[in-house]
Amino acid sequence: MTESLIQIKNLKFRYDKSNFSLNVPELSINKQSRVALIGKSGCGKTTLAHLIAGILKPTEGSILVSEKDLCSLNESERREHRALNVGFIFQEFELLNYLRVKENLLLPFMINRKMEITNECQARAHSLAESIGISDKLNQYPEQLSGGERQRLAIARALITDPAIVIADEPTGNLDNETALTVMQETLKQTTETGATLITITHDKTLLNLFETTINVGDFSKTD
Amino acid sequence: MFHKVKSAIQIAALTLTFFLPFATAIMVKHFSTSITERGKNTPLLFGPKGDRFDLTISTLFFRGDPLSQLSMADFQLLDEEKRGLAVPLSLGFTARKFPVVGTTVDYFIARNIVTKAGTVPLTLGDAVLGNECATTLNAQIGDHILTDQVNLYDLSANYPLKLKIVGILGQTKSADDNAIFTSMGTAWVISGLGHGHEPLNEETANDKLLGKTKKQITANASIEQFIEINKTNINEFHFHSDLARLPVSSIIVFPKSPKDGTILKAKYLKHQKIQPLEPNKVIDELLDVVIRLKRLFDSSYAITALASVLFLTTLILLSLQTRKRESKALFLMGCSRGTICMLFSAEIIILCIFSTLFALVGAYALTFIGSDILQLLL
Repeated sequence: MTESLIQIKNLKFRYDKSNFSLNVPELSINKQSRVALIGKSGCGKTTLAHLIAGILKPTEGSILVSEKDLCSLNESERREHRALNVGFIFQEFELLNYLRVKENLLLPFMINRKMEITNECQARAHSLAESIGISDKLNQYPEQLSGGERQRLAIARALITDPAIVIADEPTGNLDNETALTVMQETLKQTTETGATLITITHDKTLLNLFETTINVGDFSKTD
Repeated sequence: MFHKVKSAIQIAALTLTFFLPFATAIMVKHFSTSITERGKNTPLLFGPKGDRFDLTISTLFFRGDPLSQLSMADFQLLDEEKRGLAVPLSLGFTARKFPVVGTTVDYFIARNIVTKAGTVPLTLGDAVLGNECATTLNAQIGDHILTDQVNLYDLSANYPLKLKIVGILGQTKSADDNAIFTSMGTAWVISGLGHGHEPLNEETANDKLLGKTKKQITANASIEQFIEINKTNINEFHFHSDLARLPVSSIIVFPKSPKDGTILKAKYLKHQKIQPLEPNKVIDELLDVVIRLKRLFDSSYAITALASVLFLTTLILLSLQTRKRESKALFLMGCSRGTICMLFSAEIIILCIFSTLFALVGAYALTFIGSDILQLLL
């Protein structure tokens, strides 16, 4: 039987001064699964992803990640949870051009006071860089990499902390079909290798067959 | 590369903004300390009536041309008062652009100036160089230095005089470092009041003479004038005037006591052609003008600095705006808002620290030449 990683029950969320609301009666996401969040723009895909990541706190209900209730954590604890358990892949990669490739790769460790760059981290960075084919470019700057290499670096950065969840926010949003497929396959390959659960926000219906589960977030949201 | 260039431009802009007020403040402080010191070290000054600032500046810093003159008779009268050490100065000539100061040995005693090498000027034609002057001219003892021609188009003007360097003074960090000292006699020779030429006597050829009587022999322009004073021709140098009538630019007096100084000053307060001055007070008046000017500059710099700070704030806000996505990404990756704020403000603080540092270093570097520039403006 597959083990559940994320369990959402009776979740209700509403932004201040907004008529948008998200109601998720029950939702379960399994460990190492590949989930696509789909739906129209503004239906709450990013909101749901941010709730799972602990960035937003539900108005009501509970979100259990590895049996830990995120609603019981304060902001600092949720940030720590995010730093340790969630990796992000952004649409525009968000690599820091003034840092070298290696520093970009180790960025999650550099920006969190409670995380140290140990020899183990360094070894993991090298191993990840090798697996994505940029081990010889660790001392270069992101601007010196090709588009594909930058995209793979962004995926590797999301995996450097060995997170249980990887959230990819429209990673193929600006790409043509062929490139989008390559990017998605690379993301799936890397997350599968590390055993992370991949939650991808996407509009691209041609990619949906790559995912085990597709959640239409529009079914959970409403605008008064 | 872009970020390095951007940071360099920001540092340059801030450095310039900080540099001007720092440089002005440091230069004015340096300048005022230096000239106040000189004023304090010169208790009393006597000179021809006229502008007290011009007289003080020319006597203390050897700048400007003395318009009118006192005479050696005036000096002798002051000296005969026996109320202190009176030192005559003859100013107004230059050699290689450095002021030539004719004076007596008492000047060096009163100012406590010692020679680093050689002696003070004792005989006609001797010159002693101030420390900076010697360094700038790369001059050694035994070298010669030619006085500057006053007017190239004046055919009747005197020839420049070749002076022999007999000494180099130790550093005084005052105007003395940039002057060339001679005896009063040498200064009079430079000014044309004394001269030396081949002997005129019964044996002098007639084609060199304008006239000849039993009492007097008058030479024409073909007679050889000496442009250098040396052992062989020193006795041929003479003055066609009574010593008492020879000019003195000003007289510095170092009174025996404050009481002597007051008495001496009081005695000359209503003198027809001589004015007594306390350089210290004149310098204070002058500084007051400088300080007022500095305040004017300060207010101008404050406005410029405010404008620069506003521009930089706009720049920083624009920069933060363009980095909004970066800060959001850092936040999503678990970075605290405090750390993000610290990261971004650290950049601004580093820019400010470097700019302030560069501005201070630049301002201090400028003081080395800046005080000279200000003194040149005097």
